[in-house]
Amino acid sequence: MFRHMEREAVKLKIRSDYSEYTGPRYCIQGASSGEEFYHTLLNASFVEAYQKGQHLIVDLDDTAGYLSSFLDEAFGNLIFDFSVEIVKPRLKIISIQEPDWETMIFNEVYSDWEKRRLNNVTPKKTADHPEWFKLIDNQLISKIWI
Amino acid sequence: MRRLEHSRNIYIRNLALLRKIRRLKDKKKYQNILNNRPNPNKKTRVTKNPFSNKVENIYIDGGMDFTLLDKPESVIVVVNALNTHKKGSLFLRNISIDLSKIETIDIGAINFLLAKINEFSKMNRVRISGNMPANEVCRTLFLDSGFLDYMTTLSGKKFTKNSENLILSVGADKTLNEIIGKTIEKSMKFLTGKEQKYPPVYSIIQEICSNSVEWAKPQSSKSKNWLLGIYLQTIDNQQYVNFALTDIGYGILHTLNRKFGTKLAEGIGNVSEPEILMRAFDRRYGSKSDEPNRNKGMPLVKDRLVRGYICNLKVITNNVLLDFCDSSKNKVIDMNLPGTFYSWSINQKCLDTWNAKQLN
Repeated sequence: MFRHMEREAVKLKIRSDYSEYTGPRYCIQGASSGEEFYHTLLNASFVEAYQKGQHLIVDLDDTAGYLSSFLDEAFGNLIFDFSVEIVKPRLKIISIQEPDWETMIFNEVYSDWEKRRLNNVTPKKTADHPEWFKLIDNQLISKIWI
Repeated sequence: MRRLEHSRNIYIRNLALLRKIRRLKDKKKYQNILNNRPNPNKKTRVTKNPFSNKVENIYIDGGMDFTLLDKPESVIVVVNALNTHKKGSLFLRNISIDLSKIETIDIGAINFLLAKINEFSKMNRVRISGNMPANEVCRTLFLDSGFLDYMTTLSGKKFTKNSENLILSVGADKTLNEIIGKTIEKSMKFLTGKEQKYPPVYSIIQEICSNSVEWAKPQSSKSKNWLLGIYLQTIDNQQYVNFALTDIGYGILHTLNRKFGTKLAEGIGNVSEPEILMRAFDRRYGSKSDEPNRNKGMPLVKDRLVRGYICNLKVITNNVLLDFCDSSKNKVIDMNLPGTFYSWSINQKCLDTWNAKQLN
């Protein structure tokens, strides 16, 4: 079952695809931030999976470790742009070394950022980013939103 | 004849007056010498520029105790002495720190002193000098701590390094992910015999640093610095990697976002300051940004202790010492520490707990 799912999924391994030493929440705070990860990789990978009707599997293992704020900002922005309803069934997280992160993302980040989305409290951007996708009325629209 | 006598009387009177003035001047001069005589019992002595009357040289006596975890006051006195003269630093030329009489010392004190010295060394033309403890045990700890990596001899040469301990300057306006990660990997070699990653410690250090980076005022970011000290130790055949993180700033209690109602309730309920600090680690207060998704960093530090991935966690901030493993050691300090100091360790037991967690 898992193998079948894996074959039909877009995969993202943070260590090899992004950084072994992940950083803080915002670009302004340091390199390899959650904000940067979302805008360079996570948004595009999720859109790819969404368009193909596949899962996005994000592998968190084998890095030096994480800040809770890195994961909060990266996956939180995903919720903000696509909603829990869309993200939850499509996103799988592999975190064998630190399963707490998976729990935190599913239990805290999802609900906190869904509230934020519904209240329209826009996320802070500390650097200029190229256009990114957002789902509006079931339509993927790409532009610089903030 | 009468006129001559009158002039003589005036002359004598003036002479007496002159003598009186001279006596008064001598008395004042003597009193000045007495008042400005160096007081051997004073922790800080200063000399001023005779023309500008501004402090030019500072002499700080480290005293006999210099331990942050046992007697935080002993370190705060020295730190505050340096802070007092920070405002007039334009005229400051020399700071001399006397550590020769020290009988007890710890890594926390060494780290905090170095962080403060780093801050002053960024100011133009301030020359900081000092000596080493005469006490053999203190001297060894001082030499092994990594403090001297930042110092030079009077002839400008670097000190030779004899230990694997180090103090890493991780402070500026950005977190240094790779340097921190690789340093942790190296220190793990002491426990496991090979370099390896240890994510819980990476998370803790990065959480603390990123928090400071985010809330530091732009004007203070230049002088801002965090020092990460790593000290390898064997106690009763048990190996420990001790971490000490010093953050010069405002301290946690001075930057907590407590609502008025909470403050009032805690005041009425007579909640102690160590308890307030503990509540901050339990995510009982909101974030300064008022965003619901924030404020997960400090609870993470405590969580890693509760899960057994680290041990001996102690935090000193403002006027509170919080010992997470032995609440009887919690205390309120009479003075304010301008910043936060975290100290924790990892040993084989922590590592086994971490490895076991991954197998489950």
